[in-house]
Amino acid sequence: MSEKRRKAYARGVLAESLIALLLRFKGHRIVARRYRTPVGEIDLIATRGRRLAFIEVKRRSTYEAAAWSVPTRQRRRIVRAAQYWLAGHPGFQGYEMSFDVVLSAPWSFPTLIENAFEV
Amino acid sequence: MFARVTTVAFEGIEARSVDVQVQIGPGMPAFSIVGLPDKAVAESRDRVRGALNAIGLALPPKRVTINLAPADLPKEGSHYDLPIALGLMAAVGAVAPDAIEGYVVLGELSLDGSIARVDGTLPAAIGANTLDKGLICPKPCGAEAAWAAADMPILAPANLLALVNHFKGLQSLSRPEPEPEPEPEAMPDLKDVKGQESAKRALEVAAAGGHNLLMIGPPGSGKSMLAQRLPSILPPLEPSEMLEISMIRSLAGNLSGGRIGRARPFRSPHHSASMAAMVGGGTRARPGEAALAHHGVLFLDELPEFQPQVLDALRQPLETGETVIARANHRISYPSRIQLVAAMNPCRCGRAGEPGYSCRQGQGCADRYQARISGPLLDRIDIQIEVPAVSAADLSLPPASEGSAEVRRRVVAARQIQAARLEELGEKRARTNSECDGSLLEAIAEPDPSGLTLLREAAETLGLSARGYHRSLRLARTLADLDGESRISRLHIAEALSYRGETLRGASGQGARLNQTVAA
Repeated sequence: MSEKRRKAYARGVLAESLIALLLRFKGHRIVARRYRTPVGEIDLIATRGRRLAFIEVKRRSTYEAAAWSVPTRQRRRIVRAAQYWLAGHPGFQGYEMSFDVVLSAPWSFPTLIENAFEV
Repeated sequence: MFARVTTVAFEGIEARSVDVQVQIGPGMPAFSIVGLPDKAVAESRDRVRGALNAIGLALPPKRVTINLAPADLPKEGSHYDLPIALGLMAAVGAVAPDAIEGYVVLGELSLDGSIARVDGTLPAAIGANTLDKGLICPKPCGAEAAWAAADMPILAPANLLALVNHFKGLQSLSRPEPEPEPEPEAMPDLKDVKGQESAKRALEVAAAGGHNLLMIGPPGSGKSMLAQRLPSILPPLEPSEMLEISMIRSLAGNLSGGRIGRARPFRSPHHSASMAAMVGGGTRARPGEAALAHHGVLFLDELPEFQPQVLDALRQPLETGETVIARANHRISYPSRIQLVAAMNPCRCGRAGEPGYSCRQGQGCADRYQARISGPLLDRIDIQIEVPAVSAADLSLPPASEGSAEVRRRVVAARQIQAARLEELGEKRARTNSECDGSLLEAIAEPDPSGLTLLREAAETLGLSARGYHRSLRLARTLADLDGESRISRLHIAEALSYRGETLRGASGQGARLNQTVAA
């Protein structure tokens, strides 16, 4: 892994931790973090009441770049990973589900986009 | 959360009721439409989402499933947007589900929430009326729908918000008013045609009996001019006929203003017309020229220039009065009772048969040109006449004393005789002599003894086929009706025999023989 990629990765992990903390303050319960499956990966899984959110954190150097950075292929990976996770946690089956995206950039407050995409 | 809305799918001019079932349930957020939607229907989810956003409603992040029942009937067209949107709004509680229960809904949505016009509103309104329901349709189609029934409730909102407010009671939508009947358009008059007296007579006979007509003549002899004047001497449309024509036009998307006049349709497709253009077809199995000319005139100029398959496809509508389009997913029939009027040149240069002109190509050219029309099609054309070139002397004549109005009076009188006679015999389908066949023809067209003798002799000397024999009888019946006589006399038979088109198919020798027979 090149030095540049390693730094970007570390910044991403840091952003995720920060956002997990923020979500806790907003009343979310973090169910899983950095959940890896053979079909894809989910950054954060959080619940709030009867609502279950699969959250993708995007950190880029500018806001605009972050907003454009969830391509269709990655959405499909997230959806598949979510199905994989649900199969292992049948207790969440009846929850209202959503796929959210958090955009994060240096020196600005992260933005949560609820229902960013559908299956 | 479940809701259902009624809409329609079109099969020909019939509207079949379709149930739009909307279910919003838990699960991964998704929006799916099932029930054999075509591309335009499947895309409606983005239009519906945009329109709902525009009026301040968001789709819930839930599993939304839309089922269009019956599930085995293919759904085509853009008119499913509004029923889907209303079903969603009922399912999330934005409108009361029982408010939309009594309506058949159709309309296309724009992203800003306005409702755009759709084709086929009139058949849908008639379908809704048979289901004892009201109709919700786009505003531009309101006048069209209002014509279907005087007492059914019709809502024609301009946008989704107006409809929601109507159901909430904040704003009331009034029933759209049907357009008044348009003023009769000025049609070309038969007076404009100078000379051509025999062709005018043939045109009158064709109009009186609803017979198909073929005119053969050199370029510039006035064939097209005559054909264009045929609607002006045909009787005006009956209300039931107007409704049928309007339904076909509504489906084809050219019922502008929602009301048609009482003039009979006159369609003149170009000779490059394809099979789909002529009898209907395409992905949505749209009505073709034959259906659009229902109860009117289909004029084919330059008949031999049409593709032979296209012409032969017209045999079915000419025979049965309807066109059936069979496709992988459809079997649709459109009513097409047409009167075929065709015009052609005798040969490629158009001068064959002109006195004193001998073509370098010889007779073969004319024969080849005329052979492009199949015999079975020609067999279905009762009147085949020659239209000679107009002479300069004819052009300088004063205008004819008789115009379309006088001729039409005679035609209407003859048609009334036919209708009364056929009604007396308990015939439901046929309304004119041209539609009579077999035993019905024998019952109505019995010539007097001298006429019968002439017909028999002619049949023997000319070698008339069974169909040719009946054709002459049918024509003679119309000629007698024009004279207001109940019996067919020798004179009528003789005139009928003269419309047989002996120039075609190298039967020129028969003409001379016919003259001998009549003289004898």
